Amino acid sequence: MNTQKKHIPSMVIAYLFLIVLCIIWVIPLIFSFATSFRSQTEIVSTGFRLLPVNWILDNYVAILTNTSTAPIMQWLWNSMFIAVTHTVLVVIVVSVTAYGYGRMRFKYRDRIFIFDGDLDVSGVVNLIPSYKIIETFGWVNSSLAMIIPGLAGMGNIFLVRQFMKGIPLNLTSQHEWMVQMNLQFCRDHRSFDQTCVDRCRPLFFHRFME
Amino acid sequence: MMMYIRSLAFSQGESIAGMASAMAVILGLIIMCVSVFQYFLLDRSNT
Repeated sequence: MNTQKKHIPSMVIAYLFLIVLCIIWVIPLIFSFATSFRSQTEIVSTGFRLLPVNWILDNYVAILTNTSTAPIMQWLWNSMFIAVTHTVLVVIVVSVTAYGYGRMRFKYRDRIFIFDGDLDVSGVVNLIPSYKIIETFGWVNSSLAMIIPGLAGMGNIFLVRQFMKGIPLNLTSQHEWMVQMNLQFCRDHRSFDQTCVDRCRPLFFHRFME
Repeated sequence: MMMYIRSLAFSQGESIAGMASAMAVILGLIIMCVSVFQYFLLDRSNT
């Protein structure tokens, strides 16, 4: 009981401090929100004022109907299209590539992987070469320039490959009869579907959300 | 869009603070919508 009483003054100070911080944080937000409902004339004539005299929607109408200098709905669509397309393609390309590096067996697999990893130098170094490649393909000023480069990022491939290597190989042994029939492709294909994708779903989702 | 908001409000010449504020509010709403969508998507995947 006594300990609770001792804590009360410190709690009051803490809450007062937090309330002051909250007000400092909220006032610019309210000011910005309120200013969006003020006319240009009122802003110039009255100066700083927290709430507008006349609430108007002209600014919102002007922004949403502007299709020439600042078409923000077009900008929103472009951003959404590029982000979603790029993300979906990253998950597909990275999962298939990581499966190849992590689960399939072929000659010089690890050496090729290390070589690929060495190519993953800093983005700044690749800036001019990337631009030249994009220019050669004719993708300058198009959404493809934002979607295609970086699809097979080695960081993502490395992460998914290590995750896939952690999945026990015997989980795919249910398809061994296919191997005996020398249907290597079928085995890989089906094991990719049924084991890796199921177990890597959280990882893919994480990559997707990121 | 953020650069456009900044140039409307703080660039040289007359400040068009009303439109800049309205754009900032719209941008905030868009970010809120995406966040809510993402939150519910993640919440559903966790259950």
